[in-house]
Amino acid sequence: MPDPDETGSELVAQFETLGRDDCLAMLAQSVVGRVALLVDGRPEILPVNYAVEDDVVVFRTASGTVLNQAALSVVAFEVDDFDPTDHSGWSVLVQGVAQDIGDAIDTSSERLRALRLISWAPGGRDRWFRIRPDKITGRRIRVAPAGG
Amino acid sequence: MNYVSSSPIEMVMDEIDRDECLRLLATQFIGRLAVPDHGAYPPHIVPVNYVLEGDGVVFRSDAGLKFKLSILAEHSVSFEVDSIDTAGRMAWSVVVQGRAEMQSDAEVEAHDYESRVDAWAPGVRPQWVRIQPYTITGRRLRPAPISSSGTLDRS
Repeated sequence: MPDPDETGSELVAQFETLGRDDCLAMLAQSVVGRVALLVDGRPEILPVNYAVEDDVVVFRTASGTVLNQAALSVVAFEVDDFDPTDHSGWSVLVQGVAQDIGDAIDTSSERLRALRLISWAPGGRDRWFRIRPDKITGRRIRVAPAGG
Repeated sequence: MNYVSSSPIEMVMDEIDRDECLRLLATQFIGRLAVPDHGAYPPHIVPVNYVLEGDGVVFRSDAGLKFKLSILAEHSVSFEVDSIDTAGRMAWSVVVQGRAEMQSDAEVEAHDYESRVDAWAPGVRPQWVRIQPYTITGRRLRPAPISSSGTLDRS
């Protein structure tokens, strides 16, 4: 833990559960998250550049990564931000079905694919995914003097 | 809506070799653990404070970790660390896939984990876990350089 503050109090972490609206607000503050899914019973996790519109998360990747297998799989998607000085921060977890929207012709999908998202595995054929959230949870971690 | 700036986003990706992955792992303090969730989909992702020890990463299993340690012991896990510079769009990510090994009190004391890794719930007796890697892979993203002719150089 960081050193005790000037009063000599020990610093402790306090956890605050974030409601759905707060989680969505936090998601809008970042651009990189991590997608995890089970492949042959083994958890795989990869970073992706993402955007969020309302409660839909969209990300872009390339064929050839394990995310190839994400289409219509239930995935987990996590975003966080932690302060390097006191290690306080927040994290949000989205769980839901990942849908490949690469060939979708509905207006919403076309608009999502127009977003300027970076693929973390450039060079292959682009794939676009949308996560329809079943569950959104999050928490904030504050670091404060014990008893404070 | 959030998204990367509207300037050109041609990027190139480089693989990072194992030694460089370990060097990068030593620079960060938060990683994301992906672990099967009681046999249900999807895996659970939880950020944890960690420290690099040898070629493995060590974290505390205490408050905030919902999965049972038995799941950790029975399955392989993935652990991801990254660093993003959104201004310059330089970024790297390292993924460790391995098995979780519970650390004994003797090992905890020998490596002094208590003073090297944050305790988010001091006073709660933690179980220290070391991920012994099967594989360590990494990738680095950087903007594609412009060649002298002014065209994008994708090499």
